[in-house]
Amino acid sequence: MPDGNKKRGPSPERRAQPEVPAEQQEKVTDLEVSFALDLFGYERRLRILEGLLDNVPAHKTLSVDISQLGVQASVTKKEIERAADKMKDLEALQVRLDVIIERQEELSKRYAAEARKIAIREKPAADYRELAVRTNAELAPEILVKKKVGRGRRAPEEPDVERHEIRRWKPTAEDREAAERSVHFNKEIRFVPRPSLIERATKGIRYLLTRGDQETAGGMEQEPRGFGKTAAVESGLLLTGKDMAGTLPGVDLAQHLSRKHFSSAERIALRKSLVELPGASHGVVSDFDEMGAVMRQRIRSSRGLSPENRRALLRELASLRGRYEERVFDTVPFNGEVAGILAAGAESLKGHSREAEILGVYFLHVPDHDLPTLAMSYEGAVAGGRKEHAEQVIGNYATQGFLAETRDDRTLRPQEMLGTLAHGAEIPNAGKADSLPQVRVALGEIMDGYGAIIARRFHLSSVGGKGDTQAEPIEHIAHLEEDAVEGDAEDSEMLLHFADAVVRDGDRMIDPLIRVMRNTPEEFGFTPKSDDAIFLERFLEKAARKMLTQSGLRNMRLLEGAHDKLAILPVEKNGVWRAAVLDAGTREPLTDEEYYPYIKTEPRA
Amino acid sequence: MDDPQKGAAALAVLGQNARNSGREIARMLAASSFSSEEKKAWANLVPYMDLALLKRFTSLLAADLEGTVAEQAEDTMLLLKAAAMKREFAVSHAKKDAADGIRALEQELVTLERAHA
Repeated sequence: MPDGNKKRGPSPERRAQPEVPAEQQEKVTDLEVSFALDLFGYERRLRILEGLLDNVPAHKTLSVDISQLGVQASVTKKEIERAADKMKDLEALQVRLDVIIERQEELSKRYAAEARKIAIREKPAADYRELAVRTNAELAPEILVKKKVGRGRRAPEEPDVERHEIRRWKPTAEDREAAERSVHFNKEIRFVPRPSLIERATKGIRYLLTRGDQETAGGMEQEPRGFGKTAAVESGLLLTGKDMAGTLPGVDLAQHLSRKHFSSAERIALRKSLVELPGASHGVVSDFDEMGAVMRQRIRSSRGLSPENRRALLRELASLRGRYEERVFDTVPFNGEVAGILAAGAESLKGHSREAEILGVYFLHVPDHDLPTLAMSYEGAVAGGRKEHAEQVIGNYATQGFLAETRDDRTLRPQEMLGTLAHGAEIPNAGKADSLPQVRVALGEIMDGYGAIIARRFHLSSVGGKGDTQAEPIEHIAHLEEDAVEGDAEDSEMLLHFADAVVRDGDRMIDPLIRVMRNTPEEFGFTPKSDDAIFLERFLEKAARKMLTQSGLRNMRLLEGAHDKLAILPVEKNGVWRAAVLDAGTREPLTDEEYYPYIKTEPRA
Repeated sequence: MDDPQKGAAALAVLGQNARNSGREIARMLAASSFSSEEKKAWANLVPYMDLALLKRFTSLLAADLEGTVAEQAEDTMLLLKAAAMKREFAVSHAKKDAADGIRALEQELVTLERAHA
């Protein structure tokens, strides 16, 4: 209801109704609607609003708070009726918000890619600042933030729920400074310091939770170092600082988060970021009260009950409420599970290092001077020094440092090692060098290969200045895939081919598989196109990607008819993903003999 | 260098810094997503690298580590969302049960009223 407060003339259908002066319009506080974000989805809110249109007397005022859309207004029924025509506008706004979120993601990816390129080219620090400011300026028109505007028109007995209005974000000097700090690639610190894990986590949580019907606003009561309000706004993470007497998931989360994995500041940030998880129980009591109050009043006012029966029914109602609260407010298992996930995530990150105590959680401090800079300094420091000599000396020192940290067998032949890497980099001929210059040429080629693989895997534009992804093969694959799924009759030989070349492009590779599962979300208990169904898709995409890269399915072709017959689900057991092939109709597992007619396996390339 | 002692000290610092860089490369390799075979191969081939290759190798490791961590963070986010959904379902079920209970109570009330009438 973006313009619900505007004065407008009555609609033609309503002209027959008598006008009631604004000062005589009565507030309908008993019908005031507070939309509990974690209970009502967008469509349901619209239905409630529509329902109210039929029940609110024309002269009364209805206060509607559509928090998700960042819109709040106190309007008369007539205005709502006019706004009913604007329902499509609301939907359009929702679509726009989705687009904004997607755009933010896209821009942040581009931002990271540009930052990486600049870092690789070793541009001066001024460029980082320029990039940060430019990127934020690009984002600015698209970012909407909510600003507290006061209690609004609520009755005094109403809970102190703050209201917010939606405003466009304009970067302040403080924001620009924060943007500068947010650039991870500079000469001193190449990797993100520890708080960034939390920033990533909270940003990710916020994205996942707000993409649907979650959008809350407010300020953080206490801002852990490195995670200020500006950073929260920048990342889109706007948290409510309310603590509802321990009834919210996340409130006691800090007790579950181990000191081994998280610092005190991180625990605070995580706890706050998790307060608004969908499972949060705030709002549910009032929801029960809403139902219970009607029933209680009904029991009390009934004239057909004996006092004993009345008391018995009221006791039963109280008992119902007790059981309800017991289930809703038992957040300990939930918090324990969340803490476990976070701890496992941190442990997994640490697991990448055999020297976890040095690396910490994704923290690497690169020395102040990189190797070429050191070589230049060395050249300058040695009277009459030559560039080649300086590079050789610094390279030797660096190698000494490297060897001091590694304990691998040094007696292996370089050709053998090159062969291993050439195979991994998919450059079969790079392992036949027999002189130092040839070894170096081969290493360069191998690095190109790995650079391209890493770029594709992590959707980077390039790695190390080389190894750009090639668009042509992907487009070709997309073409094949589209034809195959559409069942192009002109080419009956068209197959869905999960060969290695396709595996490299994860998103497109898994698409046909996901499509099988995505078409029937209701069979998994999800409403099609609902937020949860969208999440299901994302989860399956992720799982399928893992499955395809870890199982033999990556070399499997689905033949024509497979989409109608097979449902392929990723199943994780003991950390290993496997493909479960089910009957698309009955959802019963199929035996090898049953699904073999629909697949064709191929040897690895 | 006018002062030989100062010059020697400066070169020693440069050498130490270069060694530290080498150590960092080793740690990045250890933390990378390469297989153990690949790590072993890289470790054996580092002595063959000139400065330009060492620099490229560092960039490669940095990108790999950055991407790997981002991927893992995303995995964690998905698990969190799954946990949150589970919790949400539990709350929804509790709410549905409560609504069913109230409806049953209402039915009981109606029955009692009829009996009383």
